[in-house]
Amino acid sequence: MKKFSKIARDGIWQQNPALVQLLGLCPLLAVSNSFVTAFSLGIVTVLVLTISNVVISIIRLILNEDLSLTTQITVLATCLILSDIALQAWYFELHHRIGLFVALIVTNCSLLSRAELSSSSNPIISSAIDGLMMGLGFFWVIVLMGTIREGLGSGTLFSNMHMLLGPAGKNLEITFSHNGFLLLVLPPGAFLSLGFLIALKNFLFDNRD
Amino acid sequence: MKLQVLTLVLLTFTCGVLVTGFYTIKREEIEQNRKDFSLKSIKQIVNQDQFELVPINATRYIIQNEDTYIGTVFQSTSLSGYNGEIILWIATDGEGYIRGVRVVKHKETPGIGDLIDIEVSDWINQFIGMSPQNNWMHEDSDIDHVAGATVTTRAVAKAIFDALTIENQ
Repeated sequence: MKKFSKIARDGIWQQNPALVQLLGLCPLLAVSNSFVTAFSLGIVTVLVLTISNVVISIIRLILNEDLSLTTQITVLATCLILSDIALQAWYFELHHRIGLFVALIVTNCSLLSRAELSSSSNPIISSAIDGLMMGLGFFWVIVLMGTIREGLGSGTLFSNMHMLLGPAGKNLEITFSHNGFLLLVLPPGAFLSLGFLIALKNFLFDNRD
Repeated sequence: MKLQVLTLVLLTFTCGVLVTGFYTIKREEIEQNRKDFSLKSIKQIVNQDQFELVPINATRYIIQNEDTYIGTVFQSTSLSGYNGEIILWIATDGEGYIRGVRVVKHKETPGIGDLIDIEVSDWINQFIGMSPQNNWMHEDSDIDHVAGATVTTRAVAKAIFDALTIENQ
């Protein structure tokens, strides 16, 4: 049990893939310009990371190490294409916005590093928990960035939620200002807000030991 | 060694079957979604309660109301935007006037150039009812070009003007 709580703490905070390991920055920076896209990509990442970790930790019992990279990439790519097709079938409008980055998750180093470091040497349950926790670690950072960038950049929150929730999501939009700080929605804003988040984390919790 | 090869073959085979199978099941749904998505913006610009669309090809439809011709809707592309191509759908009423225009794909600067998108502002609606005789590329025309987004708005205005001029010939 103690082991699992360490895995959880590592994934969500201590070894957070986005804030500490700085892995998988491409989707993190590109998709976090609104809440709904950040949230959706976060969910896809959590799912793919957990499922692929489980599958890889089963397969590692049969295959030797020389073939591990091939199998990891195959499993990851399959999971991603499946989620890509699912998005196209059920959330087409959303896929229009984040589709490119779903395909890019396969090159997301945080996934490959989890496959290599955790699931290729650990039993199924702890790999699954590791995938879930690392995914959640990525998830909360991308959602926080999405909230900050949308809130300060465009002055709204939860806009375009109908892409995810159907017609019911249309009423969720909150507007606090019509004049946002535009820079935050543009690509430089992604780098700035991530930089400030990392700086804040290091300032408040100086845990570089 | 044999076991290794066999497992790898089996794994890739399973992955292949999974992906192909899932895609085959969902293909019709995805095609339908894609069609609905582009038809949705076409329907908005026709500006008419009842009509049918008769496709001529993928980028041109005839608008009919109980077998009477009431206009054409077609796609046009502008390459003179700020960032890549801008794809528009333009609906005309058959007499040279515009029923409506929509930008369906663009990569203009968010917050500045994206006002051509109907979800951001209704700038694009000022073209409704215009014809090339209004000559909106001229300096003191009725169409507003937006300061700060000059390149984008002029690109869209010119694309509509050119497409309509050719269409009306």
